[in-house]
Amino acid sequence: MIKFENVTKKYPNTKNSAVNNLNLEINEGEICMLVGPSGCGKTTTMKMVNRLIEPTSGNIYIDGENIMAHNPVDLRRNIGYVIQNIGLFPHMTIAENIATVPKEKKWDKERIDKRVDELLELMELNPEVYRNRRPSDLSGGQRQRVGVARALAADPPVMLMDEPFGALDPITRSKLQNEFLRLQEKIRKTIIFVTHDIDEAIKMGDKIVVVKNGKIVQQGTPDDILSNPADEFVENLIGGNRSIKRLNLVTCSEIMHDTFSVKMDTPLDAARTIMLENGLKTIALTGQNNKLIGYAELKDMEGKTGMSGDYKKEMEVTVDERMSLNDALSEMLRIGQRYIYVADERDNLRGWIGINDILNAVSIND
Amino acid sequence: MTDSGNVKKRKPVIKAVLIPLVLIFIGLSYTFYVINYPQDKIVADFVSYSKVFSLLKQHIVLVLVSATAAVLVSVPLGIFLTRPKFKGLANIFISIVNMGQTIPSLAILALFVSVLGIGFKSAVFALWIYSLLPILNNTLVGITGVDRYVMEAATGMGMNPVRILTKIELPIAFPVIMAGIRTAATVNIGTATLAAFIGAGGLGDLIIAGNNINRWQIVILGALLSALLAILADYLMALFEKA
Repeated sequence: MIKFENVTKKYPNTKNSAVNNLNLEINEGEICMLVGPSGCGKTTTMKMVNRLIEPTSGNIYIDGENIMAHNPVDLRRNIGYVIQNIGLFPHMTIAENIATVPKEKKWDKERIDKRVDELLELMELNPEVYRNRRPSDLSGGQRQRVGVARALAADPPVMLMDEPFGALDPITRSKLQNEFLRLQEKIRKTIIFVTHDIDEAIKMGDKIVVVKNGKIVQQGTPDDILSNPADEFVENLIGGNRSIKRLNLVTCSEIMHDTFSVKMDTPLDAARTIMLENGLKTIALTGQNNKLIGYAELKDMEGKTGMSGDYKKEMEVTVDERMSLNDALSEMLRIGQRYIYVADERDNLRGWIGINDILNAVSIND
Repeated sequence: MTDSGNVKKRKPVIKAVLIPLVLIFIGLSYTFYVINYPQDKIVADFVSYSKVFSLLKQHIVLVLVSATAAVLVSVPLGIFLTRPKFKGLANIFISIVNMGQTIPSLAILALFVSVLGIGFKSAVFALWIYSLLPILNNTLVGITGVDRYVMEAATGMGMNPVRILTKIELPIAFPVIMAGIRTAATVNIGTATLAAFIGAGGLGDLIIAGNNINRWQIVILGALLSALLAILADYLMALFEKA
């Protein structure tokens, strides 16, 4: 999909090239993380794709076509662009901001309005509320959601993302990362994502490209990079706690167990039977559509009658099935529990994970 | 929660009309007072409604012509100087126009008399020179002040330079440019009183004549009307800016 061929960028009056004879191929629908310290040439590499920076020599191809064959303005309209500082237009409403590229492409108004609402919903921003707001009315996380929506507006096949979540607080960052991964499953864009944060690279990337002094030091899947760092530089970049980082590679849905649950109105006897047969001390309570409501403990049910729901205890914490084991483990540590229930985005019960499952998942490969 | 933007706009309509009316009322009242209750015969002979209004008209024309010409030159020049190709030129131009600003206004008027002769033309030209800098300066500051990430996003999304100028740079810089125009216009209205010295008329006639014949009523009439005019002009432009 995107191919760099012997690409070099040398700025005038500098001794070393910012990007030095770089060769790289990125497959369609893949998130390629360019990671490295600041000044390593990762941003320069990315900006050459939409010709914000022109290479000194070498060629870049998108879908087999040399990007230099296109007018830069046309080229850029087909490449989504998201930057750390977002750069929302302060004098325009959220809807106008998102409509930027469709307007440049001269879509008709109806189609633009429809697309804007669709994207706002995709970003979990209620169109009725946010359509006519200004960027200054929004929080940092909401602004970056709008930034992503704006980049997606004309449905470009390729996206360039320059530390898009870098300026957000850790909680918002993690939330937006998860949301973006979920989104990417639907939209399958080919993405070049620049970051200096190796954890982000491991979490987000299908492929990680480690860049140093304008050269690729190592490229591979997150697992490759974590298991076999090419040299000391990559090892230092990853840091000492490789196993803990591997927690970011596995999502809860990959290792969770099926769980037993009963409806709120299941008679207590039935619930107790299930628990005794399976040796359970607790059981999840669900409402309609398998929606998780709470749980009940066997010790509360001893010698009682009625509905299971009568002995409901509030579920304090669940994890989303798409969250990483790192998130699950930290929740378990926080509440001091050896297991945690897993739910999907609509709070439907999906399964559970025990602390031993996490240990097993991380230590398999070593 | 929703659409707070739409509610805000309505209320000030009454205020928008009221303030100009009050200003006009003050001006008319004082003119009425001077004409009907003159200090003495000399004032009574000197002042008439038709005279005051023709001077006021002259004053307005002087200001309008010079300020409009200044906008027409400074804004395009400012846009031109902020194009990436000409970035280096901006500072040079600012210094040149700045130097123009350091010459006392009276001296500028006098200087142009020797070139363009006495009267309207010289006055307009001098006032024009005087208005250039605040507008040019604010145009440059306004456009270069546009957040560079906003510019990067606009470029990166495939807006062409003309669209970036008209849809991003100018709308964002507009309040700053307008502030420059307002400053220029209000200063201009004050400075235009000096035009009377070179025979270009305007409200300055009242001030100079009143001073020469030592009649405070006339001096105050000229000063008050030009001050009210400046406030009114600034107010109307602020209104236009918000609309």
